[in-house]
Amino acid sequence: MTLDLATITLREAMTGLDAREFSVFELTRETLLRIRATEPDLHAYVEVFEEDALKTSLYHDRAREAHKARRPLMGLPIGIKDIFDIAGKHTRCGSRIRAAVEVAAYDAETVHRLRRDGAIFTGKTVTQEFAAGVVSAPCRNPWDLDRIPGGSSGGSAAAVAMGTCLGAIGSDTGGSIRIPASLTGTVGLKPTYGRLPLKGVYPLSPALDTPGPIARSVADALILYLVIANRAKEVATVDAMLEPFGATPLAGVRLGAPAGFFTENLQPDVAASYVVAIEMLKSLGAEVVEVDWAEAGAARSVAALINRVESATVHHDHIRGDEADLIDPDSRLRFEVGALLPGDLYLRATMAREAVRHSIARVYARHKLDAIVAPTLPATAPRADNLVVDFPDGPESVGPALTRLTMPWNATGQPVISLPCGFDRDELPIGLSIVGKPDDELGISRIAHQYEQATAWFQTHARPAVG
Amino acid sequence: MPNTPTPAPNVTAADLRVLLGLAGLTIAEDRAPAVLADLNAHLAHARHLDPLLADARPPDLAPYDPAFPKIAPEAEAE
Repeated sequence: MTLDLATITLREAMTGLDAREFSVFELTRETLLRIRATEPDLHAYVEVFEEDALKTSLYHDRAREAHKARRPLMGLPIGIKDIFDIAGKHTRCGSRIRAAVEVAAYDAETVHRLRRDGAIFTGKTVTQEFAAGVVSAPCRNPWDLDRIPGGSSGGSAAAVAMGTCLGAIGSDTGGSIRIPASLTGTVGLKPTYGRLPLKGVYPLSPALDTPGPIARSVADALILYLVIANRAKEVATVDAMLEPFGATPLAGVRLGAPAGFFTENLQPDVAASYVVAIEMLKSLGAEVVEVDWAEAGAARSVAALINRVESATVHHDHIRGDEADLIDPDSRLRFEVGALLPGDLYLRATMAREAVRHSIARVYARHKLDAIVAPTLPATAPRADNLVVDFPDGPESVGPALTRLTMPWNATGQPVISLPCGFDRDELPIGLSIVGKPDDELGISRIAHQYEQATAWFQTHARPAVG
Repeated sequence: MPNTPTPAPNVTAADLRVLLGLAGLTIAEDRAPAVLADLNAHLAHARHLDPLLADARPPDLAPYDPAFPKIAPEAEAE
């Protein structure tokens, strides 16, 4: 196996290390060299841990030679979004307010699990300030350096797409894993809300915040999910988890294709790719039925209101003190408006969240669905110098445009995996979401894997002229 | 809990000054229009909640434990 970081997946690297085709040190060194070569243009990292990573790689090589018990991620380079604590490192959250913050005393629980299971941390990846937004400046999109990677986990997704880490951790409050995954041609998994620990993760909206992986393939994302979900022992059985459903890859699988909200006002190439993806799923044996979730728009409103009020509470002191001028104007506006919304509206949004959860549960039950399939986003990556997205119904600013289809699933808390399903006329990636019932991360991964294996998108990688 | 329809948002610049004062916030005058527009946009979300809450009861609040919270002694040691 050739160690080509432009294309290699986490799983392939695991195989290459096990077969001694390359050492952990070589993998780490090549990754760090690629970071050096690409960072001047990409800006996916806020800090790179060169020395730590190389030292840890030598430790892992010695452990492998000594035939010590293998850990699933032993020696694999992983990026960490800069809202997760890493012991001895700064967690600056992309904010000038935290420029002089002390280093973290402990790993975030999810980071601890990655470290325990052998991950080598390449560095802290760029986040939109306090994970509140979709631009992730100064990071750019590896498919077109004039465009944004999406956010807020933009650095994580850009690094994975570029091959400057083989997997990364992000967080998703209104779409912050799925948005950059869709815009960078990577796979993003937002697990079920409330199942993974948030200890050591800087909050945005605790009722919605969800940590999760961004990776180059569905199998890679599932492996990282199992590790952060404290289920590392199951990594050895990933092949069995992702088996075809029957004589055809998706035999017996029943999928819902939502009409209305999720198909209105899409960019034409996104709409066309979605139609083609549905036909592909049918050709793989899935039964696809049109479903109507009338409360989708309300679910978006629920998530928007809870997000705003809670983030205003998190940043109560920041927006009232001298530090307020240090906050990015867009972030500051978000937090200020959240502080002005009436308290009864927050309570009504919380009540309405239960109503939308019941309504989507009825859709799954009525149609006997295994999952719902929808476009991840209505658009491809916007230009960094013009943060307005053009749609058939007219232009829309980048924030509402990119969260329009992701936020409903934050209100319901369901697991969602976003994976590539094509390219637009500018050769920018398009994402497809497979939305499961609560706790069915494995089910949606299995469906996504069958689709991924049947399409060419999985093997198409960003090859920008950088470095 | 009453379920009268939420009125259309129409917070004015004068209202905004009052709300900012109540919230203890200070914003520069040139930022007021953007804050006002975003506030009204978010208040508009409230109208989407009305149909969902037509039959809703007030939510059960989190259970209250009358015992003192557990405090680790070492955390209090000087």
